[in-house]
Amino acid sequence: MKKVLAHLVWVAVAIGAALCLGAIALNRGEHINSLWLVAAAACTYVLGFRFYAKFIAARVIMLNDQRATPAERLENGHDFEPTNKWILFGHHFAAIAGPGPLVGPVLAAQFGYLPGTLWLITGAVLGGAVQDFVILFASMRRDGKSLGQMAREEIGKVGGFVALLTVLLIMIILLAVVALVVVNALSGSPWGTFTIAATMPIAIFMGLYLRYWRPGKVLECSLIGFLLVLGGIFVGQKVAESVTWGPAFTLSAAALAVAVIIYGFFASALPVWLLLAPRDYLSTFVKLGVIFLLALGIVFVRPQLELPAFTRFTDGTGPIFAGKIFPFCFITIACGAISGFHALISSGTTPKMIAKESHALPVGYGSMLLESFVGIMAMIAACVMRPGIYFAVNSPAGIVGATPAAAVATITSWGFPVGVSEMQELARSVGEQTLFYRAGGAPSLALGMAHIFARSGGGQALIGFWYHFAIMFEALFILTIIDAGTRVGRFMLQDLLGHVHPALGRTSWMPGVIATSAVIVLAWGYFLYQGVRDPLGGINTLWPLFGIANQLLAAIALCVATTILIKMHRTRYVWITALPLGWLVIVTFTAAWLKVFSPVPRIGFLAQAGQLQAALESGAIAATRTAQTNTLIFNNLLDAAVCCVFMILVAVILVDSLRVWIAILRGRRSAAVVEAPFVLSQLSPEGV
Amino acid sequence: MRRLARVAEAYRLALVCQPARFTLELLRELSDERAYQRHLAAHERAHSAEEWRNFSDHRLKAKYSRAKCC
Repeated sequence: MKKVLAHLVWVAVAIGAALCLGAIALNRGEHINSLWLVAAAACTYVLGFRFYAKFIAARVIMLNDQRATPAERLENGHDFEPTNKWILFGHHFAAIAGPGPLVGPVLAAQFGYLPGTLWLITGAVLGGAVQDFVILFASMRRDGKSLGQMAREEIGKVGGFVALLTVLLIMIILLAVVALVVVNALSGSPWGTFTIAATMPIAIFMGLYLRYWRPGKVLECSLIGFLLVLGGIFVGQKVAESVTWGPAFTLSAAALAVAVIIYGFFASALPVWLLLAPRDYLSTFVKLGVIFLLALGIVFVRPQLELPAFTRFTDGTGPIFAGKIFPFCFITIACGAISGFHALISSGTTPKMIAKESHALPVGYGSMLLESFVGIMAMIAACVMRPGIYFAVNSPAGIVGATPAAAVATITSWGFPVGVSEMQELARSVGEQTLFYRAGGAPSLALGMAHIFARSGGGQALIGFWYHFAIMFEALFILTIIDAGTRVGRFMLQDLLGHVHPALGRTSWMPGVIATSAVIVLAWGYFLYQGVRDPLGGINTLWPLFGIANQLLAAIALCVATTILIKMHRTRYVWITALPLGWLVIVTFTAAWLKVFSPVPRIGFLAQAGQLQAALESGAIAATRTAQTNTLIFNNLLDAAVCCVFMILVAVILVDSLRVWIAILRGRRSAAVVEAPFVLSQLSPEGV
Repeated sequence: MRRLARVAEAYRLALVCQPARFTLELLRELSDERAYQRHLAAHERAHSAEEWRNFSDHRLKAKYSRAKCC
């Protein structure tokens, strides 16, 4: 009887998923409620977890709870520690959740809500969660080895080196793009700039508090820090209204970019306990809290989606970034559907904390589903705005016109009516001077979140507070990524340079630390500054570059996963990783090819460089702008070169992997996996 | 009737207490407070400012030598 009932429940969930997906896919011309998206995603995730993930766990990788995990065998009270699966689930989710799943869907909403939503759901269930799960499993069976180490051992030395180099390059682009998101969100916003500036002395205070006054009291210290940050948001409003202080915190995008670059250098060279670690604790708690509140807010408010299922920009003429749905929707939404960076986390701390092999299922697969759900919430937050407002906020001046009147005329001509007075009123209500040309995704996400939060509690009177709370929340963990990423990039560079000159490899040698920090900061700082000076807003160039890079890293992770499955003699199930790998290779190589060689100047780097060169030679550009135009030409050529380097690196690892697969399948190479030996687990499930 | 009330009270407690306990445990894990307790237990040491600094330096060094996710 119970079995029949369980079958009926799953049939009902499947019908529910089909109905909800059908409703959001087939609805045209009417506004739909956001709960359709929530229900479609939730039902599909539950089905994916119950059937697909369990199939992979049982039939493909054959998780075995009798086998002791590295956490049990190597338990040392530090890194290796058997941990409760739900605690580890929260830990892993906090580590993989970054700004990517929040910003990507907001940008991809320019195609309408449907393409991004479908990709978020299917990409996560069939690709992203599988990648995270299989890599977590592989690392767990290899005593917590990193992706680079596994690539070196399972594929070859070339694969390992290429993986390391790719991660370093991707990190540089990632840091530039997330810094650009913060710069665009804070430019011309004294309230936001003050609030974010205030988080730095607050973090330093927290660092000193933890180090000297109340050592070990992290939760207590974070609570104090959180209250101080909330106080900073309230004071920020007064600062913005002050005749004296307001202008001091009203900075241009270029000035903010320089400030972030200088900050990045010092933050990476300062002791971690002083600034980075306390802010990281704070940002982790705020991040989890806000995601939880947003989910509650959406369920409570049940807002209607104002953006249509598809917009006219599916043809590739979108103002936020140029390019058609295929392939650009799939690289714009990276982290919410499939993200290569997750493979670094799945082969980092998490495999060292898994108590039982079966826990890899909820931790690896389940966490990615939750991350995808965050992406769905970001998509909803973007789509609850009227389309005219959404495009006015996110479109750069170079596309819609340099004055508000020109911008609203252009956007209205697209069929998305919006007025200057309406935008002014909206800006005034959230305490901003203007909301035009705020490309980058963060301001429109903050507007959507503020709208949902204000309707959940506090009303319109508090919308300004909620808007800046959302900006603070995004900037807080983006700055933490910048600090930590610069530091990690420095370590990687030192690791590489240590082979050339041993002193450069020592992390305690100050000249080496300063020199390598400067190289990493200048590398991402250059791309950031280039984005700020770009007349198309920078996001048009940098976000696709980041998406391509991230998805190529996912391709490397899936190459490693596929190799391991073949070596495990699971060739009949190799499609589980090979299909997402094939899809990613097609998408990313098409996107990278178009970004380099498309004849459309808004898409292709070479075409844009050629157009600018032709304009320069024909005298169409004023003599005063010659130097700036030459810089833009150089930047386009550099972006094209970076894109080509990514393609070549991944092609190398792909060919190397294919060579290994063919050799194993033809019997020319042994299929021995490099796993840790089997040891019988002594840990009882109750003991965890 | 009294028994029913007791069962309802137990359910209500479970509904409120378990998520609260889980949240607190998660926060302690994320804040490294639990890891510090494990460190003290594993090395049979008592809490002190110096001990926390040693633990924290070791843990943060490992934590920030790995990439943070986007």
